Amino acid sequence: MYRAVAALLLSGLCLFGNPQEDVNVNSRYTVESVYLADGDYTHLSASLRQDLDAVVGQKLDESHLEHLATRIRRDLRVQNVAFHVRRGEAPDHVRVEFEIQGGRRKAFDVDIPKAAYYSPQGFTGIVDATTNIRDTALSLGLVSDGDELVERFSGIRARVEQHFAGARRVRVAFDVGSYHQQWNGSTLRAVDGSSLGLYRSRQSFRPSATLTLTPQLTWTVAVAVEQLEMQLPAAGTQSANSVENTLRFHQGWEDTGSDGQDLDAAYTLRAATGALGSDFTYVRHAAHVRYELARGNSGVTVEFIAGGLTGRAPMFERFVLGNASTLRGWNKFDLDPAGADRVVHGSVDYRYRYFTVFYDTGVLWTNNESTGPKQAAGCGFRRGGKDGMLLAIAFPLRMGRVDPVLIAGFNF
Amino acid sequence: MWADELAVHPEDDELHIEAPQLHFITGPSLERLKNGVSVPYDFQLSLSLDSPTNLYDRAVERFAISYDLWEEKYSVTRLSTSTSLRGGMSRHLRERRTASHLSAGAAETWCLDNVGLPISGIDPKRMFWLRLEVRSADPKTALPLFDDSGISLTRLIDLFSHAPHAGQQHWTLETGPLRLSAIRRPVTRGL
Repeated sequence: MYRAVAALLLSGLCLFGNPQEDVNVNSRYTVESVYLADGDYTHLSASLRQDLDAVVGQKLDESHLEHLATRIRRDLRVQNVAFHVRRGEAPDHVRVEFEIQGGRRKAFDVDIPKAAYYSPQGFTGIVDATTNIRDTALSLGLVSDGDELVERFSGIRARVEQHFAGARRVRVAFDVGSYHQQWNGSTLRAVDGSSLGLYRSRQSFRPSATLTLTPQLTWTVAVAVEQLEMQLPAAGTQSANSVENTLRFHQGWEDTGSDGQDLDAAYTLRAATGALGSDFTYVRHAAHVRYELARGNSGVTVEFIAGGLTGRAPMFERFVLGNASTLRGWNKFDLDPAGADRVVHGSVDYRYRYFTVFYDTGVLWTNNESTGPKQAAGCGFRRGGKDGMLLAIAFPLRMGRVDPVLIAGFNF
Repeated sequence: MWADELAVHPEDDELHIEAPQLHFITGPSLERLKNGVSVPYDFQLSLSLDSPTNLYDRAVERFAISYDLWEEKYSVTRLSTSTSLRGGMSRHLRERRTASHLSAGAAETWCLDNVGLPISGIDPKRMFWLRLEVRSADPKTALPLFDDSGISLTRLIDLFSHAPHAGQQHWTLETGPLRLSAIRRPVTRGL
């Protein structure tokens, strides 16, 4: 009996065959296209769309497709997503079709891309209503954001996005927005007498095209036309017209189950010149790197931001720290109420199950003046990663006193 | 009720089976295969001595079948080692094996050919019964059978200790009573 049990246990250990190795005979074929039925491609997160694009040109990997189907199911919040592999147009090529099963996504959908409460600055909320017509997504949204920029901007926005399937994916989009500005008293005092002009409203028009250069790399080129109705009637309306280039790198490494790594990096260069009819002339650089590591119930996220601008830029281009996602615990109006020319910020988040602790550090510069390095730390509960819910208490690390700040919301 | 649905023949100190009436590449599994997705199948061959309920030995295997979309032929890979409950392992079944360019019937036969039970130590005059269970594995639950080294035989056995879940395709074939002394070697078959 013991011999039998021992043999059984040994046989359980005597394993062979790499679980990652694809046993599908079609894994020798190259994927020529990826298609998501019902035109819901535009509802997917940018990183997932990039990962789907990255499948094109690669050998068929069934386990990777299973993982992507799970991510699509989560993004679209549908019951199940299956995939089918068909013969491609070219010999030894296949096309992959993802199909939504057990409840199709509604033709008209309402999303909340961001909802946050940050006690120093109040509520921020964005609501988008989207409908799809084949591969075109039309969305209309309401915005009241007191978190991202120096000012609180409230208004409406609309977006049309068209997706072209092919060996190299191209996406074109057109964004428009109309916002009304509210300025904090600290900002009004800080810009008084300076060349920084405040505006009461902003209209934004932004056509863009995104090209997938490699499976991991995309390039977005956009023209941003911003019309600013200035606070002072004598200043009239001014333009901030710029050309924007963004290179974005995304790479995911999947292990088994929930384990994996994810690297997301982006660099954006925005230049506004008189040649574009812009009253503001400036160059703005911004870099963002985010790395996530998940192992079982634990996970670590490291994030780095750097940016700088030269010339005369409008207020919405200036850098801020001390909000719901940077230097959490600080008030942006205490650090630099008019925003800054340059920024460096880093943060580390560690989570175990739903519990999370984080540490932020950063510094702002305006001309030769610096806020000095600032630090903050906090803890709380997070569910569902960056796109999930967060309820946390954060503290600015400074001598003298402790001022806890409440952070709550999701998708930030 | 025992029915002679399995043909049995000894080969290299092992008991092997044939089941000409068994066709498991059918239904939802066939649909998945035609969609270019691989389908795992789990096999358990049980041998009982003296009575149908006196389990003596059993072997479990997992095979992954896929359908070549361009060549319209099947490919089969055996994922587990062929090790029986009592620790017997045949030499030619140790390594991972793959066969390709098969018809559906040939793929089914290849799977059966790669399931065997060692018969050394069994008195040729004792009566025995054989039971073959085949299940198409749920692709969503197939992965947990893997660990860092590959597929776990103990988990496969554990899988067969539970009844098939609703909607899971499964087949059971039995034969007996038989005696090794009465089994004649069959004519060698080709694919």
